[in-house]
Amino acid sequence: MNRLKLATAATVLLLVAAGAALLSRQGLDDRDHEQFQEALQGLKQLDAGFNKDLLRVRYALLSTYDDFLANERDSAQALDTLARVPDLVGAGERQAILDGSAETKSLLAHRTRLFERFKSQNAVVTNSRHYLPFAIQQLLEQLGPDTADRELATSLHALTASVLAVLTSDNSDRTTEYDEALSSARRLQDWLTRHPGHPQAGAVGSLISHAHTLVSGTGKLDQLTRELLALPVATALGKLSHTYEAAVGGAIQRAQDYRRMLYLLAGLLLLLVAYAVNLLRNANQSLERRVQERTAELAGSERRFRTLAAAAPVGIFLTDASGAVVYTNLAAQAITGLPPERNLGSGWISALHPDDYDGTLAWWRQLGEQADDRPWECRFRTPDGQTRNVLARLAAVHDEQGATLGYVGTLEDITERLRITSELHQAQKLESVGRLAAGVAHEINTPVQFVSDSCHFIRDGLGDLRGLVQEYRDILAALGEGSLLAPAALDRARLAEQRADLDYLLDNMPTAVERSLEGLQRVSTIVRSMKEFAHPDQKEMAHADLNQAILSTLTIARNEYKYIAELKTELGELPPVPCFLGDLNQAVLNIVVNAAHAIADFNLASGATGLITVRTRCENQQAVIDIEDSGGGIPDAIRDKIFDPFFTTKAVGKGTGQGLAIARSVVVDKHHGSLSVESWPGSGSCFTIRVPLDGDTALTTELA
Amino acid sequence: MNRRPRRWLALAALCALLCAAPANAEAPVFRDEPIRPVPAASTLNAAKVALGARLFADPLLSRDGSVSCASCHPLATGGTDHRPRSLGLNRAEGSVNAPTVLNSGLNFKQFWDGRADTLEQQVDGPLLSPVEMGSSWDTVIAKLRRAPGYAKAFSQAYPDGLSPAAVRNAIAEFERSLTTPNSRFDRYLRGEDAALSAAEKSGYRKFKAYGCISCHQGVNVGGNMFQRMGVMGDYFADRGGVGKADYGRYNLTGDEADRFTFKVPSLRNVELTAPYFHDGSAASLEQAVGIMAKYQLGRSLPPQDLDELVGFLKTLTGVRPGQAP
Repeated sequence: MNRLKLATAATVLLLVAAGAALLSRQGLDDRDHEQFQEALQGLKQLDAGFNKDLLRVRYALLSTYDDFLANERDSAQALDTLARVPDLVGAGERQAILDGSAETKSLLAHRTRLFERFKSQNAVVTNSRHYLPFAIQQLLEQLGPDTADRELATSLHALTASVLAVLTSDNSDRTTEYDEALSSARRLQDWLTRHPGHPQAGAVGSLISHAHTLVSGTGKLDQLTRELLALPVATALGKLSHTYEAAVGGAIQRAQDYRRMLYLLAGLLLLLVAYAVNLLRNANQSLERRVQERTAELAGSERRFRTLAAAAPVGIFLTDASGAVVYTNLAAQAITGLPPERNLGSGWISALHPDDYDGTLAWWRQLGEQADDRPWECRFRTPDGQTRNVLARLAAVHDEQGATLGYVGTLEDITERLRITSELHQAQKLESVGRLAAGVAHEINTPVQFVSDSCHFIRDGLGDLRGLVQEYRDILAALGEGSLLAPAALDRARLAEQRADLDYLLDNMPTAVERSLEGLQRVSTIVRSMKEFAHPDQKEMAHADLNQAILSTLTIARNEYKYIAELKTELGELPPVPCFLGDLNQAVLNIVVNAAHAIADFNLASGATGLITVRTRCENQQAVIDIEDSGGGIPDAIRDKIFDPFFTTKAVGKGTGQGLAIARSVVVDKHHGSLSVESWPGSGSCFTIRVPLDGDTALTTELA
Repeated sequence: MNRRPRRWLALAALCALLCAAPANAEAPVFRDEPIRPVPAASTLNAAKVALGARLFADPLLSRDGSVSCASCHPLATGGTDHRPRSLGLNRAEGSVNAPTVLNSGLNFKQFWDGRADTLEQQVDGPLLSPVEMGSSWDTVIAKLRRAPGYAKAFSQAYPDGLSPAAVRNAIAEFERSLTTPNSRFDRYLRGEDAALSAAEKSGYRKFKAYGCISCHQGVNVGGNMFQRMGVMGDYFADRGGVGKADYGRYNLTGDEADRFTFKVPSLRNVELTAPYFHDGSAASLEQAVGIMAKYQLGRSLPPQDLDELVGFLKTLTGVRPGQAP
């Protein structure tokens, strides 16, 4: 895969390089280039045209300057174009070309200035050149035969010749001709000075003026013409052209280089693509292999899971995202008692115990809405009529994005566990009864003892009474027979009464009966307490007099504390409390016994008597039972553990460690109440049981 | 395969013939003279021309709203106000005679001293001159922005809307439209021999013979070169009162050779544009022609020649904008 990434990266790089090459390769068919070349070419032609027209004007073959203006306009336009060097020219050559353009421009500006002067000069010279021969001719025609006129005529001829020489000389340097013409003009001027009043003086003056204008003007004009023609415009353009061609040549070279590079890049790209394709094919094959392997792995995993699930003792089921069951294992099927296919979808619902139907479905539905993995206890009823208690758990399965794929659930058959727990519970109850038996026996023994003593006394007294009654009957018989006289009979009766100690008997016999009755009453109370304590297991809560129940419990527990602590009860008014009374009695007993043991341990050395206070009251719609002892308190270190099952501080064999755990289970789990403890180390503890007065109708399930 | 190209060739040749014939017919044919006829109005942007016309006549361009371009260049009177020197703000007098705007687009430069290369450049001259319009571009643009219609017209005619460059261009575009084609002389040049009388034709011959044509040539009969005033005589010494305005192009270049040098004015419509010369010193054409002959040509003109020359000059009056041809 890394190699593929590398190949992709290289491809992208190459593409970028190719793109850059394409972009940087300015086309030679560039419009700017064409325009530049046209402008350059145009300027050369315009320059040549200018020079040609200049000569035409100079030699009177052209008589208007409009064409020059057009030339100037076109040149300016072309110069503007030359200032825009095409992009294909490299930065290095650009400046040289710009310099060349600027040089040309400056030359042309200079030429324009010179040419303006030329035009002015040319107009003047042209006029004088046209006029002078005409004026000389006119003047000559006016001249007469006198000396002055002949002299003038000679001078005029000389001037004509010398001016003609100036105009027609082939010499490039015409200084001689100019000097000659000027001296001719001077001679004419001399003549004019000598003949100021001559009728032709004005005409001669004008003529001299024109001759001067023509001669000096022609000189200037020739000078200007030479300067104009000598302007190195063509050279500058040639140089510029050369520089530009060289630059374009460089650009062409670069373009060819680019093309070669593009070919190279294209070739490399093809190679890379081929390589990438190969890599992809390999990757694909290896991917397919891996898919096959993974599929096999998955199949194995699936098989392992199925086997595991099938063999698991716990019921396992799977649902899809909508909650429809898609799989159940054997254990789950055993729990519902349904054939496998009838568990799927919502089929399992039919196996629910009718009483648990609504609650279970509510729990099931709410799981989809909120992540609540609270286990749920419910019952299933198998078609063969068995009821199975089940602890159900459900967990959502999410994919990587967090979407719910479905749920995995377990069904734990806790029927057996509940049964065992229940039996253990019962066993503990029996254990406490057993342990109480000795005390209870003792409690019963005492009244039985004195009932027995009284009965013996009554039996003996009755024997004495029967002897006395027999004596009375004998006396009466003797009296009746007359064998005995009344006084003797009286003495004999008195003697018999004295022997029988009749007064004592009559005094003590009723007392003995009372005592017997009292003793029997006590026994009866104990037995009733025993019966009340061992209240038969209820299926449902029933309202009960909690105070009475507590008294009974304390009665049967009396032997546990009577030598250890004084018992004080402060029982407040309580309405009938809905409860499982037998269980609650068990809880109270366990706590009271614990209190007695705590006091005993605390007072072991001193042998002092402690105090157990039992209080009841009604508070916040709860029946509250406080059981306070004056023992040593509970160390902080173990306060959290005292309600744990099998936790005990007592010596092995003295307790099972179930007492407080059962008390807690009874109060919290069965009655939805609370069992809390406060402790003051060194001075005692107080356990408080709170049981809701409105009961909890929802909790109707009792152990089977 | 062989016949086809031949047939195409024949067709192409026919097309070429057909196309060539009218092209030849439309080519301008006129007499080979130093003067050329005013071309028919070239393709100008009508919207810009209209906008320029409005600006040209709008005194809003001047500082106090008293002077427009048309104040000194009224089109009805030949594009000039016939004063030796025009009056600007507060009736202040300018330094030189106001030239006509007619055919000014055919001049190679603007102003007497040629200091503006284009009509656009020319606009700044009077606009900013304290004695002419005395304004500034900021003021002008602000005023135009407030004035109804301008902003919209400008944004329609110019991509960047109202700006100094657009104002310059609009005015120049309008001025370029102010050509006067079809003068009798132009018709003569185009071959209409009867357009000129014999005297006028004689006048033209003398115009060339005396050498007037040396400077007054080309399409605008002048306007394409500079010339010194007084090449054959000292005009300014004779006139007297030489001032800075008389130095002409020298004021621009500082070159002694340019002293007293001016743009050669166009002679088109010259009969309508009195007074003459940069100083407006010649009230009549005859006077002007006489001065030219004396100081520029170093000649004296016989009266008949002068008449004929003036007669010829009057044939240069063309059809003015808004005038029926």
